[in-house]
Amino acid sequence: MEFQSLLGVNKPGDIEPEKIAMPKYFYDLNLDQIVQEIMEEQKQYDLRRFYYVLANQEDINYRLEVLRDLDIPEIYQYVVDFSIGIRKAKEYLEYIEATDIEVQKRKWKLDAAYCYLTSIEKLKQQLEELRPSSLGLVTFMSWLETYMKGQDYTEFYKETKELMSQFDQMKYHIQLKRDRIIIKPGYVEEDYCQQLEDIFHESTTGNHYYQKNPFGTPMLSSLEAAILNVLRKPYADTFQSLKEYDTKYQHFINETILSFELESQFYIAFIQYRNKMQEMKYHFCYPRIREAGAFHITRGYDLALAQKNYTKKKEVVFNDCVFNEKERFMIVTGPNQGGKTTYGRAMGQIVYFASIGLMVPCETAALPVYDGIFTHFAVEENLETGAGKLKEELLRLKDMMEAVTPHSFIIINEIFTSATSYDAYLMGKKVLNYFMDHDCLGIYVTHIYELTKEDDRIVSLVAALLNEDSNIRTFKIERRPADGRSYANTLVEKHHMNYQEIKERIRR
Amino acid sequence: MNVRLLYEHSEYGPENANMNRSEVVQDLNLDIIFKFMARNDKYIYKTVRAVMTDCLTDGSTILYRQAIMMDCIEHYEEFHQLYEITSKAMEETDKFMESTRAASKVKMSNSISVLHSLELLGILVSNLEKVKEHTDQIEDKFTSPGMKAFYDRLISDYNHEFVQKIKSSINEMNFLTSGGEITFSATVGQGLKSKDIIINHLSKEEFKKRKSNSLATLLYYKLLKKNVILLEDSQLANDVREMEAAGLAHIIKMYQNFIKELTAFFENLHFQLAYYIGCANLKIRLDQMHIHTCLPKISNRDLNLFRFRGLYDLSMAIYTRSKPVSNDLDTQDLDLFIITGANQGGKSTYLRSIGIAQIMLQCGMFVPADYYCNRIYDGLFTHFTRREDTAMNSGKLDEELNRMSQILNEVTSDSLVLLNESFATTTEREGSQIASDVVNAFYENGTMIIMVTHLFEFTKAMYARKPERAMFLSAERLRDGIRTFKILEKEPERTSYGLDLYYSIIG
Repeated sequence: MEFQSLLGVNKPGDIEPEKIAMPKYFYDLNLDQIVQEIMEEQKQYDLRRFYYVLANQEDINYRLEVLRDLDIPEIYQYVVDFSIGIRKAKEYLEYIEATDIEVQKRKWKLDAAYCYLTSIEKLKQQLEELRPSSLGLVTFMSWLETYMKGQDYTEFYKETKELMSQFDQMKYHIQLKRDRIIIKPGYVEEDYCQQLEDIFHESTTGNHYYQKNPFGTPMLSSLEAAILNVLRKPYADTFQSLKEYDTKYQHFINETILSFELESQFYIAFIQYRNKMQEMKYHFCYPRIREAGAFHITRGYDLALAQKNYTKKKEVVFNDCVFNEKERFMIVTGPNQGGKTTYGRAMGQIVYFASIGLMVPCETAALPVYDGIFTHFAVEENLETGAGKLKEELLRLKDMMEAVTPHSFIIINEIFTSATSYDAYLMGKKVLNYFMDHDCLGIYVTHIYELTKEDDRIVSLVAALLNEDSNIRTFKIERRPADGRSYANTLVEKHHMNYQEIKERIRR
Repeated sequence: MNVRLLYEHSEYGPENANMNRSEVVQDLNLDIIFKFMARNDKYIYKTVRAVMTDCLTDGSTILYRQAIMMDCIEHYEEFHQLYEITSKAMEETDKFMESTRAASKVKMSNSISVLHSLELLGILVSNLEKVKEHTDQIEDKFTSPGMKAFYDRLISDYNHEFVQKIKSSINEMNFLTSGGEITFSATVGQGLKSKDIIINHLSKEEFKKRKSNSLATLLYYKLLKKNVILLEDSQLANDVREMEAAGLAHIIKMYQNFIKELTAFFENLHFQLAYYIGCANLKIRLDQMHIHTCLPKISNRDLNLFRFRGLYDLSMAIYTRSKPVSNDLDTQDLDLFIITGANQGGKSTYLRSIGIAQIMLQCGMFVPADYYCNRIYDGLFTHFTRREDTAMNSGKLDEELNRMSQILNEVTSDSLVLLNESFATTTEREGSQIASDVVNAFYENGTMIIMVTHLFEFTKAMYARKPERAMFLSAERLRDGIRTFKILEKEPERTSYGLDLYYSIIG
């Protein structure tokens, strides 16, 4: 198989990045914040097109394999270094436009080429050492090998290296006096800072180079231009070679290299984000994806909330979501602010990340493949359209009902709240039946607990309270009948402070 | 140079005792003690607060500090002068930093920032000389190993020759900023820009009377000596001056570490002396009020002695400016003390007096008692009921359990935990159950518990079981209801004589 893309078996269609809109469900699931945060990690790239589109099963598994490879710290670092190198090469090419001095333009091009080539050489060598196993990286490596064996490449690399080593010899020293400067070729090794160091009995190795050139722009300062003028004569040969090199090589950056650089950012940005979350002690796992397999999530959580709670030093509650055979909808009831909406969001986020082929915020996840995620969250009444809340909800619902397929995941949150309970019950029943008859899986958050009855395909989940009398929320979503009020948890349990637990918690 | 007056082998402690600091400070009324020690010196307040909430766990450091503290109490004037010198040095550097910070709002040119660093270095070095001079004079008064070692390091690390060298190199730099010649080398890097720049040397430029260049000289350089460029072009001249300034800034970086080291030296010396001055302040003021203190004894872990005579609550002594009721105890190998008895009988005060003494012991201080001997704990925790918002609701219990749970996250089997009316925010039955679980679990793990409680169901059951390493104490109440504020060994009782209080107030 030939390498097409790092994101899938086939090359993704050429879509203008700006033309892909953020999916509607992003807002409801707080994915707008999360994905924004991820993309911020590599904001020099426009990664929207990769995050806004769900993948098919083949591509999901292709990506998960690549991600596992890139998750090996060495490979990750090499690909990051490679991207930095390619970016630098592109930056140098931009500098050509920033200067008017012909010879400097040529040197910037040479530097860009050298940076480009060494990045490629280094990546190839490093990947060969580490032997990644994913189809994506394996096919990329064999493409790379062919590319690097080509006559064009080898000759280009050789000449670039040679010319660079000539420039490495170019050195000078300069005396700055009050009224004049004296420039001479050759480097003087005497190091004033070393002498100072001896007073302080400090020892460092190597020369004490300036941290940076005081003239930071890509253009030459007057002083540097003056130096260049003096050096032209003793290094005339080098400058002549540079001129010839410049005419010979016009465009040298390969398209596949560029797309590899861009597509790898999809993973790099995610890994950086994930590492940040892991530092906050939040867990992630690789999902297992089957075309029509089980739906089984343990200890899932809402990433956006997790991050917020971390800064507030608040704990995050982890919840499971398991659909057994024949089960189609989870109906979540329970007290206000008991974690119901968060539960829906958390599971939606897990389905989303699994569906774009990345790791998911939970401990284990086995999921079927979805071709669509649909959400329906309560919105403020829209004054502009003048439509009532219920009407607007129903309009949105109609769109959803028309769009779903048997491979859709549905999250409905607090719908029909402006209708009477009886009406909400009847409408809810219809809506649920519609989606279940279409074989969709989903989560339905509501106050109407009667909806949980009389159907095998429906699972009742309840946001738990600490105990019957308290109104303390545990944010645990438990699988049990909706009208049962057996709030068995006690405070002691919450704090893990029964006799045995205390004994174990005391460190010896 | 390391000061090392708080720790023998390092500037900062290794892992010290675990504590729930803010709770301990609040529960044991430590703030009133800190303020008393500080005598209106905010820095001393901050320092003693920091040091005393960071208790030591090894006996040798405790003895090390005790000895230095005794030197300081003995020669208060001399130590105080040294402290004053470091305070002044800190003030001067802070003031200087403040002024440069104000100035740096406008972007500082390189050469100005070099001048600033030089000036700061000058301030630090002259203060270092003052410290050296003063310690030279009082050195013969030091008896503690800590002060002696400090003096030895001072005269060897910052010996005369070294200080002179620094001073002369500061002079050299001063002259360079006012005009001189600098030579550097570089290679040609990306985009033909200079790279790998190093300074070769600096030299004083001979003063020559500046004369304008004749046409002949100009032609000579333009045509024949192309590598010599006269600085007529103003852009070029600017570049040259910028390059020069960058070079000086580069050189001053070499001083940066030394500036940092010296700043840290003064900060540390100031901090560490502040602690001992605070201790000495306390001692002197207590002496003036004729309130006794003693150097505590450290019992080893196996012997496990817990004994005291004339132990009183220091925070109360400071508050009332007199010596409060004191208590005695003589025990060995006990890990559980359950204190019951009359309301307003001095139970909390008793608990506090132990907590304060233990903290002072583990900071290397004297203690508020005629005699005090205990082992060292690797954790010190307090769990006091928060009376101000006692309400019988689960939210309250939740808060209480939460604090206990925090303690459980840190506590070890070698810790001391002081409980004051814990778990009283729920029904007696529930509270007793929780208390029983908590106390028994602690007891079996060997954690030292001193507990004031009214949970009779719990104390009754405990007393019936009579654990081997436990002792039951009670606040003394004479038959007529009068409280002596003495805590004595006694079987727990059902009543806490709250009715006494009721009658006395309501009638």
